[in-house]
Amino acid sequence: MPHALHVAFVAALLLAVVAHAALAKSLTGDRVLAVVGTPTDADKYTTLLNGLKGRGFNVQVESVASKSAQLFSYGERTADHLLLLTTKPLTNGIAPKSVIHFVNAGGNALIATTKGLSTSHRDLAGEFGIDFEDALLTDEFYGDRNATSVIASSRVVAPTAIIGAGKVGQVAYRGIAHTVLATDNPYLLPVLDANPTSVGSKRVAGEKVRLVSAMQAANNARVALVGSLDVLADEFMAVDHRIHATAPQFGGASTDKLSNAAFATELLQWTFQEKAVVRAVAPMHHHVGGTEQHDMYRIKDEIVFNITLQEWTGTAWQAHLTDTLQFSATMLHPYVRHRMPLALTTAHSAVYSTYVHLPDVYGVYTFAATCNEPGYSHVEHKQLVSIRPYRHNEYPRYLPVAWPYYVGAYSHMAAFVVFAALWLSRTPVKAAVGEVAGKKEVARSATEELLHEEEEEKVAAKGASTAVAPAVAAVAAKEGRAPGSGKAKRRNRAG
Amino acid sequence: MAPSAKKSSAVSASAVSSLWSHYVATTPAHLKLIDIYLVFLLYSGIAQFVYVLLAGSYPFNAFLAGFGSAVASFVFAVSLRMRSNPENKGKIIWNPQQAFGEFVICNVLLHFIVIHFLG
Repeated sequence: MPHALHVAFVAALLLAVVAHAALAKSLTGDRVLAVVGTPTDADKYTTLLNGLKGRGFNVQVESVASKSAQLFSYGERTADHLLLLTTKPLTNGIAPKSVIHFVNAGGNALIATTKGLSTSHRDLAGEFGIDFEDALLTDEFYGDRNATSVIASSRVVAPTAIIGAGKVGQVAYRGIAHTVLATDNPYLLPVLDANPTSVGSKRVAGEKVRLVSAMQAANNARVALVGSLDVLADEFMAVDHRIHATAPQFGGASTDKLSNAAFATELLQWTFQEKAVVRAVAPMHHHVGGTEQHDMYRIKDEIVFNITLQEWTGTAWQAHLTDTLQFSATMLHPYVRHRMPLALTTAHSAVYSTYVHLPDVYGVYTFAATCNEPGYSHVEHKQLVSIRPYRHNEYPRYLPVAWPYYVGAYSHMAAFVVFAALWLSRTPVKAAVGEVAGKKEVARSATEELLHEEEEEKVAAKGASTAVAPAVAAVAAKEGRAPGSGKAKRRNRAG
Repeated sequence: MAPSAKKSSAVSASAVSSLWSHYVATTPAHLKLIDIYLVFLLYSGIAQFVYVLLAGSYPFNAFLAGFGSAVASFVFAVSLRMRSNPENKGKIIWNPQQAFGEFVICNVLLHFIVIHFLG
């Protein structure tokens, strides 16, 4: 696509997206299904739900046992986001199987539960690699002296994509902890850890205690798992709520303002795809110095690969700056794999470009651009490209290693020309050939007579022509006859 | 032993020198010209062969072209020498002009092919 058209296309796309942003801030839709234990529980979460409504979401609150707590209708999702705020068993429309199907279909979920959670919650959490405990956490130092089960944690270990730097200080928490079953799962992200002095059950204590986890699934659906219902409740989100610190003079919880409201907002913004969503647009590859994209290149070609990354920040697409964007050219195993540096930044996009020297094995390759930053969406762009071998006239020619052969061949030609010139200059006309030959033969015979009289006699005895010819040729030269006629006469005489 | 060794080396040395002097004296100039050309082609061929033994045969077509050019040029020049050597007058079809013409045609063809095969 020509460059001007290309820019116009991207601009139109951005305009369409920006126009849509005025309606809803989330990229995956604005239908939220909030599931609470009993219909009156919804009053405990008014701050949370009003916040969502204020950001443009369409919130539907259902109780767990209600028949209208459905995620799918005729095979299609009826909600874009799920908010589970109950410990009661999940049945029917929000059974664990449905929730997993919902996440696989691209829906986001925030699963909050606390002590007394049902086995269906354990099953659901197990699908994400999370194992919930069942004992309320207590903390002698980072806790509330008036309520033993309230702890305060400021150990926000989330990547900055989830919780921005400096936005969350101390979070009040009353609930259970969980452990991560597979520590090498690349999709699970930690969000909030407890302090080392927190104590849950016997086997979960100290720094391994995790309070809030998040998962950025492979299809870019987001799930957050929270072990406390109160951390999202109105009581802890009130502006003037304070922890009555147990031992502030020995460290521990402070009496500062709590950040529960900020924490809930940041977590929900991330979970419902209102921020930290990254997309790749306008992938393009062409020869160095060219502008057209081909689907077939040659081995050892030099090409340029460009891709543009944009990040959704809730209101607009902006440039996404990263240094983990990777380009790879793979055919069963990666032949080329390196980082893509930033080439150009505009107000709405960041263009990454890299120069690639194609490998010298031909075949069908996959050009891929991938970016997996923790907390941001997975970016993966793949395209099949053929790489052909040399045509018969594209091989390297005039190799330095073959220089002796080139010199030899051309010197033979030069020697041939020189030799032919010398040979021809020796005998300028046909008529004089016999004369000159005769003269030379006369000289030779004279020399022979001078040096080797016996040999000459022997030669003369053996072959008549060698002895006869000089004399005859001399006679012919004297008489000015052509040597051919002389030859014929000699033959006639001999015959 | 020493005297006989000296004598044999002296004999061989004198044999070579007498061969050389006989050659210089009895060979016509045009045949000596061909012989110089032949010696040059011989050295060129030997040099290329030694080079391919040392440096490997990577552009094998280039080696074949260069070495083949030397060998074929040598053969054509030998054929010209035979056809223009006066000692062969009665033994073979003896026509120096025709021989030289054939020599030129063959060499032109040969170098055309060699340039194309040289790569």
